[in-house]
Amino acid sequence: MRDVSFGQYYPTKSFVHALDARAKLLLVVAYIAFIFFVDTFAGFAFAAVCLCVPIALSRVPLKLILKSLRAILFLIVFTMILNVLFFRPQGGESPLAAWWIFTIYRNGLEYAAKMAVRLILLIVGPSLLTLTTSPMELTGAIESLLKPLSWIRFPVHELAMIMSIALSIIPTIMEETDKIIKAQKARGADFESGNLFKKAKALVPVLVPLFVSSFRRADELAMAMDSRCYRGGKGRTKMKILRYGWRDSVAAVAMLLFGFGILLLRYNWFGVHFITLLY
Amino acid sequence: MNIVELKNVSYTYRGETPVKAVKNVSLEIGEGGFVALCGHNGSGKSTLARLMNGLLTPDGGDVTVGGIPLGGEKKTETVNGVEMSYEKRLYEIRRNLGIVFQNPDNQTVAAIIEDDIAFGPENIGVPTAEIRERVDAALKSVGMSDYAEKTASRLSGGQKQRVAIAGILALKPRVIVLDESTAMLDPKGRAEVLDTVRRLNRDEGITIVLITHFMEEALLADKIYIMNEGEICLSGGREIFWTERAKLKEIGLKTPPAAELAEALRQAGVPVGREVCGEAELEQSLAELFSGQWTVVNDQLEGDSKGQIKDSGQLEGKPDHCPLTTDHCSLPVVIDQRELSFSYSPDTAFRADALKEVTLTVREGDFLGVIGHTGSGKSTLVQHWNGLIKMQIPKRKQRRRGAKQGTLFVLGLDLSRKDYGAPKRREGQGRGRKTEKGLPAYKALRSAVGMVFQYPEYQLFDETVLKDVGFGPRNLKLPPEEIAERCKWAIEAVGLDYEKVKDMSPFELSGGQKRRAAIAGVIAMKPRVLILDEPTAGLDPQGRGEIMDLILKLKAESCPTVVMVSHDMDEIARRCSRIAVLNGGRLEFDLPPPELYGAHADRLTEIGLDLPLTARLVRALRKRGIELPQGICKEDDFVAEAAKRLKR
Repeated sequence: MRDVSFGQYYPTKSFVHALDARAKLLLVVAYIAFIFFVDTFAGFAFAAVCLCVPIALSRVPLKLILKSLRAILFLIVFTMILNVLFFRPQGGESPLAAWWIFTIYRNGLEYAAKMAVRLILLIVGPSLLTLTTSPMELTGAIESLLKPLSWIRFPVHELAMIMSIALSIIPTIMEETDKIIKAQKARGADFESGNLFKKAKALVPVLVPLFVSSFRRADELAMAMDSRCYRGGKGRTKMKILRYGWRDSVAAVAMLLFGFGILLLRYNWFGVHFITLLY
Repeated sequence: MNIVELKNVSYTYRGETPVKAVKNVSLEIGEGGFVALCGHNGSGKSTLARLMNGLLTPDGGDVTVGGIPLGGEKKTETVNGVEMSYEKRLYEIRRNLGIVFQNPDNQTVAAIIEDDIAFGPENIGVPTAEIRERVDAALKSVGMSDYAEKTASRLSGGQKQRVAIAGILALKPRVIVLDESTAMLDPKGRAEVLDTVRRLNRDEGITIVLITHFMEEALLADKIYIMNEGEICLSGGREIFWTERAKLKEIGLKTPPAAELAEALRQAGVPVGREVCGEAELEQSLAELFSGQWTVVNDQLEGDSKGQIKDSGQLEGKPDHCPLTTDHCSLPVVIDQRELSFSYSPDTAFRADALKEVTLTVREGDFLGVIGHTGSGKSTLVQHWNGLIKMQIPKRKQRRRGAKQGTLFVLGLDLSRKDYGAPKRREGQGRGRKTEKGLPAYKALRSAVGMVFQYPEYQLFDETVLKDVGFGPRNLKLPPEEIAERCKWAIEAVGLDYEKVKDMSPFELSGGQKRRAAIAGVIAMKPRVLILDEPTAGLDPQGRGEIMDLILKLKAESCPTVVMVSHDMDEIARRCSRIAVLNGGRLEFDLPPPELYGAHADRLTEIGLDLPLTARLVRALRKRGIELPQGICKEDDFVAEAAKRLKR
């Protein structure tokens, strides 16, 4: 499981994978913004159904998407419990149950459920981005989107280069950390016992060699880059050019429709009450 | 035409004490040639490589690559009627001459291989469509096309270096310099890289400069330069290995292993030609000599060499009773391991079985060699022995599915007990079982079984050598006087000058000294078993010899049981009393070298492991129908046998 640099990227060929990384990034930002407009169960249901479309199109196994939720399961449960236990209604709603300092209200339960659904939607959307976009593509997208900032002398190319190098060197550094920890353990080092101060001090024999070797690596890498004619972003071309294609237009239109639907449900535009009819 | 020309080039590293690394070197390399540059670590070879493409600017002298003079930084020069600024010339030179560096991990700029290879052409502004073509062609040239979209971190060392070569090829260079690019690789990786550059030289006409301290690699070249103390002291074709033997010896360099063996044979009276320095030539020469006087020798070793000794050394009855004595052998058992299995991420889809029911016994006084491919389970095996990897105890569910629990006793300690291995948060505070000295049991185990990791110098951290060596003893909570005494002993035992180095920063030491200091840090714990993982990796032949001598000295004086994991078959065959061969997590053989390399040479080759030089020769000669006893794997035995039969 050393493929940290790859994040959770799931390589396959699909409509979502083929989207321009920049478009995907912007669409995810828009999606997150729209989710914050949702405040009814009907809205959440609409958002969830809509989210199923790109998930199905991405050909990513559902298991992997659910796995990204597992990491924040604790957070979801925790916020739910807090919301249920400590919800204080504005009006004079009568509690469903009360025990010691806790009182449970119907609105509290509803609020907690909405919060949980919102969190889930907020996690699944972006995780679909990282599942379908390689870190390299993402780096390229960020570089391309930040390009206007280079007008104010913001080092966009350098930033992207740093991200790219970091992604490629992380597995090596992890492996090395592992080895140094083992080597010091073999000399009787103890990283687990003692108070916080002692534990921090116990890390010195790991951090010093790690820093030394990281500097050595940086030095050697700089030399290797120099020797491959690197001279900054000036006059550079690219092998993979991000291209905005028809798929991206389709996705953008779909996102616009999605946003429209959400706003429709939220603000009840045109006086459409058809949703309430469903109840 | 000369593609690289150095004229009276000098370079000095500035610093508190300036080091004159290259002194007045002149050198001409013809286009399409294959040149080797050999010498000790620190002889100036790498500096010379860096001078060749302007990574370093010479203090004096001229560097010309592909007809373009590097020249002064401020001057504009006219090349073929075109005015070129310094920067233009510099990048033109770097495009023409690429360097592959030593460490395969420190040359990738992008996580995905094809993106990394595109880095060079992107830098020089090649149009997008052409970059793609160049990347595909470069990957094809090094035989890595299938890996274009993979991550570099999953590759073997040899594959990583081939990717690095492809990264240079994409720039369409005329010269490739390999700056000790094979030093950190295992024999398989080395062969991969050398095959690749040979092909590039032969088929694509690319000039190769091979910087190496393996003399057998130098035989690939049509011209060899030997560097010593910043100067080129010898140059010529392969004839320098017989005409200049004395001079090479004087500067402490050896000739290729086959040439060394040939020389030993000549001295024993076997009339091998003096111009023999490659393995194939030696084989040919010996074959001719042998077929001249064909004699039948009883194949004694073949008769009684057994298969895999499964039951040897196993204890009668339960090992709990008396793990330190056995009725098989008078020597006490140090490590007694039965049917030990281990898998990484056992309950997931990523499950990888690293060890499969490995049964092995190590006795006091053993020098056990552990060999096998990268990923065959060697490290997992030896890390069990000092508790760095905890034994896996199968859960009830797994047991029902047939998972067996192995047993492992080290120095009589039962490692299946919970308090070995890494302490769990609360156990570390002393809840675990303690020894008489009041140490947690796992610490006692780790002090008794010392482990020297690969490239141990990378674990040095403290302000002074003395403090660093004292790290282990301090962790054992020894009294200060004893710590001081042990540090002094350990530093002297590894052959360092105690008074001189004790207050030095470990980072000020030279490469070989650092490794010694790191070994001192392990033996200061006074281990009874010393485990070394590739102790000679990355060193030049002289350094390797010194470290091996040191290990033998430590074995004789303080630490009777030694386990060495290595890829260097000659070293293993020469020194070890027994060899354990791992293949895919299984113990394939556990035999003394003569039996292993005799009866099982074919099987070893089949699983892709190298043989020692002498065993390779014996095998090849036997295939030619020459009756040589199997099982010769040491130079001395080989020389004696040949002398007995061929002496005039």
